Amino acid sequence: MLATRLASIVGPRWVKQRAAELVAYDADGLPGYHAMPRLAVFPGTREEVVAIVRLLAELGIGFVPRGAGTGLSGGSLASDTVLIGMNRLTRIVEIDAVNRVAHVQPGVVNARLSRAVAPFGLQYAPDPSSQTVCTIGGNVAENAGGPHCLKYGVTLNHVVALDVVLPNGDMRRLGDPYSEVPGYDLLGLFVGSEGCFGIATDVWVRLVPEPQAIRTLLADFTRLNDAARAVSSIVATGIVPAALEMMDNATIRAVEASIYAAGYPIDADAILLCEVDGLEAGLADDVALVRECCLASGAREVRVAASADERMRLWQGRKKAFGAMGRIAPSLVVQDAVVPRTRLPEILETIAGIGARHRVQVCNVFHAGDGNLHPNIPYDASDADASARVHLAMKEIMRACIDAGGTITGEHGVGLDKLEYMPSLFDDDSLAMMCAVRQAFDPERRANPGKVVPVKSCREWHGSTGAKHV
Amino acid sequence: MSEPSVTDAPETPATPTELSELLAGVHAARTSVPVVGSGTWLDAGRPVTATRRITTRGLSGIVEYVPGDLVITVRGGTTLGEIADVTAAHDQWLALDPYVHAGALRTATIGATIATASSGPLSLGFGRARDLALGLSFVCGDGTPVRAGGRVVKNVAGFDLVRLTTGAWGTLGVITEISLRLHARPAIDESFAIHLDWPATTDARAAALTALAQRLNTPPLLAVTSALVSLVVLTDHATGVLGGAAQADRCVLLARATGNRTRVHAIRQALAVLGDLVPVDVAVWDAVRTLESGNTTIRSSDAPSRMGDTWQHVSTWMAQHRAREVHTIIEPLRGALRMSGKCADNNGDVDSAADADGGTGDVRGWRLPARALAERLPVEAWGAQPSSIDDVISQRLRTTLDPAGVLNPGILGAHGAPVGAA
Repeated sequence: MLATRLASIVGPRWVKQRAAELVAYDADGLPGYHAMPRLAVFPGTREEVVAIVRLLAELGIGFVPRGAGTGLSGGSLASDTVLIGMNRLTRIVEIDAVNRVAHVQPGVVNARLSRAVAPFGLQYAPDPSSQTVCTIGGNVAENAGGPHCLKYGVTLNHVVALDVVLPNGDMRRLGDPYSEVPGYDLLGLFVGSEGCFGIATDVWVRLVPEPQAIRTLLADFTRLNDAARAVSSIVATGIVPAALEMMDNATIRAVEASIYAAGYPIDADAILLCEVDGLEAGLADDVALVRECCLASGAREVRVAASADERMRLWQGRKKAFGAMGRIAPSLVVQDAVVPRTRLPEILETIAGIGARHRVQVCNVFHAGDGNLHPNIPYDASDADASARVHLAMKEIMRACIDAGGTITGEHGVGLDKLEYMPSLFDDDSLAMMCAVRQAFDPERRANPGKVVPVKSCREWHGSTGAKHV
Repeated sequence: MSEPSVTDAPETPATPTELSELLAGVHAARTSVPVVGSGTWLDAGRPVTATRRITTRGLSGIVEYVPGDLVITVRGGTTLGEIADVTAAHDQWLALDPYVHAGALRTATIGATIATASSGPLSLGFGRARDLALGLSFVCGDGTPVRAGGRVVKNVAGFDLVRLTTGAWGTLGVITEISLRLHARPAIDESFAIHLDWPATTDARAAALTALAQRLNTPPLLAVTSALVSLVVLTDHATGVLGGAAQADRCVLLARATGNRTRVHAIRQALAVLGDLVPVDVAVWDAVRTLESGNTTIRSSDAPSRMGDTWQHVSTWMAQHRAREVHTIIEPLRGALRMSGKCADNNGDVDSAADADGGTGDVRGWRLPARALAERLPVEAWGAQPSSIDDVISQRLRTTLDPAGVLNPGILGAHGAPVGAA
């Protein structure tokens, strides 16, 4: 019945309901969470999105919008609800090069947009590591970050307008491609709302000029702490590196053993990948200063990528590090905590201690300039004892990050994975307010139900939702 | 719309708890309160009607400042001057320089700056209020304290109530504490002026502005302009900030470059294609920020490629309202401008000002041109401005965070009367 009505909107080919088809959508990029959607529907136009959402509103059925499914929080799982795949909306509608704004559909792949605007000397700056496959719509939902957000800012800082379908099927423009709009910053509120406020059907993003020149430095350290201190020292100079990334020995070894081998020194306790960019003039001075900071903090060697190829190779190792960890064990827990930058040396030591105590291998690869940690633990999920130890270790790591004045997620989102930590970060009133704010967009709580804020924190609607909490 | 009538002495809660209790009482009594910091923005003429005023000046001071984190946490009533002093001691700054009236450069509070989402010329290099606010504590209209965001530079935990509260003009809650991103002071910080040709006719001026905005926004100059931290174009009386008599027929580009010596030198050389560079003291930016004059300030923005049209629409409106001493600050990279001047005011002849705009003889003559936002207007003129929060979602948010509509009713437009009280 539902399938038939959806098929009348998008055509039968774009409604999937057989288990064999749906299994492709039972997980996102984070291993460990699985849930089958009731069915999946793939609209081909904005009008079809509206029609689908209207129909679901009429029937009182929940839905989950999904881009490429590369999320790392379980956020796009649609447990027994309707999954709306945005992958067919892949048009770059307009590139306004003079005013540096691009209008795209939500299914456009992040890296494809940057390629399309490159002939104009422009780029779309946010570059999540999954950028070769992840979509702009998903980036908007998650307020995605990436290595170069240190200088250029996260997705929020680059989205200027959205057309969204509200959960009742109404269309709404948030922000404006070119003008400041009065009133509440609903655009800022929507970006990062993890699909709980509606579905973006059109996205206008700001483009920035490609830098005239780029220098990428690789510094290697025999002590992790020295690398962490170098980070603070670089940032204190007033230079804002385009990116400042750290990898520990476990990660370096995983990368070097994989097809993404980047030539990182495998005997280093940690490496820093630092990139400075902008005008060619003066860049050499910045490079010299960064090198000095690294050496003064105890770096063994600092080398500057000599060619574009070498630079790409250094970055490839970093961006594919999560994938390389797949060589260590079949499953991987990925975390995304953030701590104040000055607490990095201490927290890395704490994490190492927690890992040793629970006999798990923590691989740290992260956005050091932002204090955004990714302590990942490869393990074998079929080993119950190992799984239990991994879970305990992660809980302790998150607790330590919160205690250090940090947060539980810097760019991956809460989704399902970090729901349990929300009450340690926010008090009851604040969580209840988040629920209430969501209700302004979605009074029936049908958009991505059960995500971001624990259901029990939502006072007025405690227990009233029919959504399954995974 | 009547003038604000605030009769009692302001309430000055000294702790968030006192503020909570105070607001719970106001909520229960269904009265309403204007919330002010130092009162810098309140006198913009916005028609807030209430009898009791709450000031956040009792909630001031630094809560936490770890220079190595480049983050500072302060109470809402802390002044921009206090923040500047504390951070300067560590060679850092809060790169947020809102346009304010003369005398308020140091006394404006950070709470009001964030609540009004005010920013200034440095937004080119460092982003605006919404980009610099990392976390907030605020008290809702019924006295409920809420915390949002955090003290770290990257954070997506939960729905973004920081963005929601930033720019809400205090209608969703009173900000009690803010964490802000700071920047290290650059080694070199230089400002310079370039005098530009300013044709005689309005049409020619509009065309010149469009051409300039396009040139600054496209290669090869784009590489240089996007490396600047501030870039404005001043016309009319605004050119008076450079000393000497302000002249209505001057046009000056003012730029600020930071970084190392080599880079700043290269930027200066590249910009010299626009005209001779005259070095100016960095204090010129304070003069620019306080340029507002008279009773009317309007902001407008559109695509940079329509810069001239944007300027012309607002200029025409100002002329129709017989504005004198017009000051114009243009941000050509954003396609934005601020224009202020002395329009026929409430003590003079509003009707004839309105007549000039169609002879309706009522407040509708004060309706602003498309894409323009009022920042300061004569009291009568606010009545002509549509509410900016009368859509369903905004009204629901207002009712959620301030159920009885007690906070700053009316401040976001004519129809922003108490929403939950009816």
